[in-house]
Amino acid sequence: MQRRELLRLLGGVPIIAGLAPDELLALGRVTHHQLAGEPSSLGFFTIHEMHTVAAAGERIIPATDTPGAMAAACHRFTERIVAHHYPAERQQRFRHGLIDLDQLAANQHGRLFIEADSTAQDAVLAAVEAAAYAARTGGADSFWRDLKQLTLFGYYTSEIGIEEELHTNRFPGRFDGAMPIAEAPR
Amino acid sequence: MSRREEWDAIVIGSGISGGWAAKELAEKGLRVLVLEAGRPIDPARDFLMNAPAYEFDYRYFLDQDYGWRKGYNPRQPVQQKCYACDEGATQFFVDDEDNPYTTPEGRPFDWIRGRQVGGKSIMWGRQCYRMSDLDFEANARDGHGTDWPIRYRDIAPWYDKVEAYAGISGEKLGLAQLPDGPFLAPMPLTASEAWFRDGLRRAYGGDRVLTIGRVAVLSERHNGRPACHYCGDCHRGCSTGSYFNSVQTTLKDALRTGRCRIRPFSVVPVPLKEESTARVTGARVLDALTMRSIEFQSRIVFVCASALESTRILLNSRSRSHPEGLGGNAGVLGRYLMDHTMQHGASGDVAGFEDRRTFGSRPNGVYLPRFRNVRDPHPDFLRGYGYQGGGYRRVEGWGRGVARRGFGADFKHALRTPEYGTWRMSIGGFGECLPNPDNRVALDPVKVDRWGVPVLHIDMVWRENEQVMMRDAEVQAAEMLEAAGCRNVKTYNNRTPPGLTVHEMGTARMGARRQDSVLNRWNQVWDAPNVFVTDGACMTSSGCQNPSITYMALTARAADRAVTLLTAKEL
Repeated sequence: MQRRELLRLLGGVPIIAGLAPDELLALGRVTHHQLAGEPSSLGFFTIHEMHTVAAAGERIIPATDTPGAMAAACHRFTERIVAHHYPAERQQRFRHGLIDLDQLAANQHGRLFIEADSTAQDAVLAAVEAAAYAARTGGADSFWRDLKQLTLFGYYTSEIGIEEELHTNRFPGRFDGAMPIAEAPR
Repeated sequence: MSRREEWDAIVIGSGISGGWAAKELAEKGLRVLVLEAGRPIDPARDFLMNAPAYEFDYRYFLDQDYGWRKGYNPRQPVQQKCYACDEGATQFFVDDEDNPYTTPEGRPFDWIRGRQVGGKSIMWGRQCYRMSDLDFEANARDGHGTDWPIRYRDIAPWYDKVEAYAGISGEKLGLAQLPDGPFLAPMPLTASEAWFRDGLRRAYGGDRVLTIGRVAVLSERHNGRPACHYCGDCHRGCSTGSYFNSVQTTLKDALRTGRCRIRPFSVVPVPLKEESTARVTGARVLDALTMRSIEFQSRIVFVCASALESTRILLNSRSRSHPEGLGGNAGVLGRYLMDHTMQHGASGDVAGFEDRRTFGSRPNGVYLPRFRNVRDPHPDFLRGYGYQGGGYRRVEGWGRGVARRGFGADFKHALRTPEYGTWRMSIGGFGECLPNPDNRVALDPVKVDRWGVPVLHIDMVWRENEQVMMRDAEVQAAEMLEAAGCRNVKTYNNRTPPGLTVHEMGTARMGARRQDSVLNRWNQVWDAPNVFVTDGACMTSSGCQNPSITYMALTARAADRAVTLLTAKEL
């Protein structure tokens, strides 16, 4: 893989410049490998950004006894909202937030966020969350809040979220205005 | 020149009123052509109630803030102010750029419209309350507007008829100001609603009562249509036809006669008229797709295009004999525009019922009938208001996870269980609007719509009586909630502009005399008796009740009259 193509795939992420060429190529192999199975996107996020959103989303809502955010394709919902709905400044903040995930992962673990193991990814997200809550807005109006909102919204409105996670009964068939909680179906 | 198609009756519009006109006229043996300006609707394809969130591009994300809805469609800035114009129903509202209108600077009017077969009956609010003689006598009593040419006894049998057909779920109360009908079983109250009802009874006796909403949603199987399944998404179109809309009821029955045809994409700029006489001979149609002009002949025309579209058609029918438009000779066509005030009331917390929750989505709320100026005159304002509202428990589901710290497996599993907060009770007034000649529509002198038809200039504001009444409704709401024992009671008034209640009415009013009204007691245009206007345009006063059931009743009554007159060769 050519360096230029790799940089394109990685979305021109600034931290790449700080990596040695062999490290860069090692990352590229993994990234290239992951691209193969990735369905097409809107093209708003670079493939690297898409992978980063998907990886971060999967740590926010991981697969447990039910599938997680990645299986529910939350990253594609996130891209749609960011691309079509966010104003330019907020889009930019979101991109910078993704870069920060790589930056922190590189600083703390010597890897891009998507290359880090789940423990390392959790540490990165915890640091991003802590920084957001330490800010004057107390967690609101931040990249972290955006990422989390879009991940949760995408997950709980997905088929997996509705059917498998919440078991939402979309057609209750009756109305009860004072049902004992203990007797309520899920 | 090809020969014009000849019909017995043309019905302009296919919504709540047009559907009734089509059904009644066709069932009485007339050959009926329904002209609808918008597209055809096929419930199997177009009603999206069954579609889960993930089948929509944005999954209702943009409905969290109405200002974001432009992401669904940037051409609906007015329509998107209506709560029902969400991602699942945006296709039922007009394109504001194709369908413009004008308002004076600083006097907004939000004109919410649906142009398709079924009209607004697809996404209406479904609340149905009869008017009473308190309403039909109101103008005569206080001198605002002209007297209604009918009384409750004239319309009562028609209310009975249309309610029995549509299926209205509700509770009989025996109140003179809110007559009962042949209701289907009432839907249940919630815990806090029943509690508030009991508190009101203790504090006010029978003077102020709370009841479940009277709603055109089936609480039981009725006339071949299955009962509601309580999914809560009525306005996106119901796949089982369990709420009343013209597509799945009246129009279907009209078509079943074999004597009715619905022609979509048929813009009607004006009826056809003989220049020398007042006789209307049919309608000229502008095919919305081909822009071709086609003429259809008929013996009678029912104008049911929605209140302001109907008046627009009359206004556009200017001629030498009718310089102010068809029905304009008395000088009141376009005047006395009304709507209901809304979103002014109060809410509060209700203690108790900690082990209870609601189950299912009830497509209905509660109603608190008018108590002002029913027996004793109020010193500060005329007429009155009713309240609509509901009592629900605060429940935080997965959405609480957005603003809370944390992520990961434990976080995910914790969000599976909802967190229950306090029960609430909230009521908001729907207030009567005095008929005022300065609340009016007229043709805009320059602007035309996409089809070249001159558009309306709409000039309306809430005036002093409405303002004072809104404030009273806030104060009384708070007093009642507190009297029942609510805590943390807060009043509100969202100051919504006229139009947004989507109860716009008047501008071609009925009256007893041709000198001061547009329509006679049978909804016939005084100047052109083979033209009937039976939708909201005909209203002489507004009452405070949600008006659609009155349009249904007046339409069925007028259709019966039309057939009687045709049979007697008096038309």
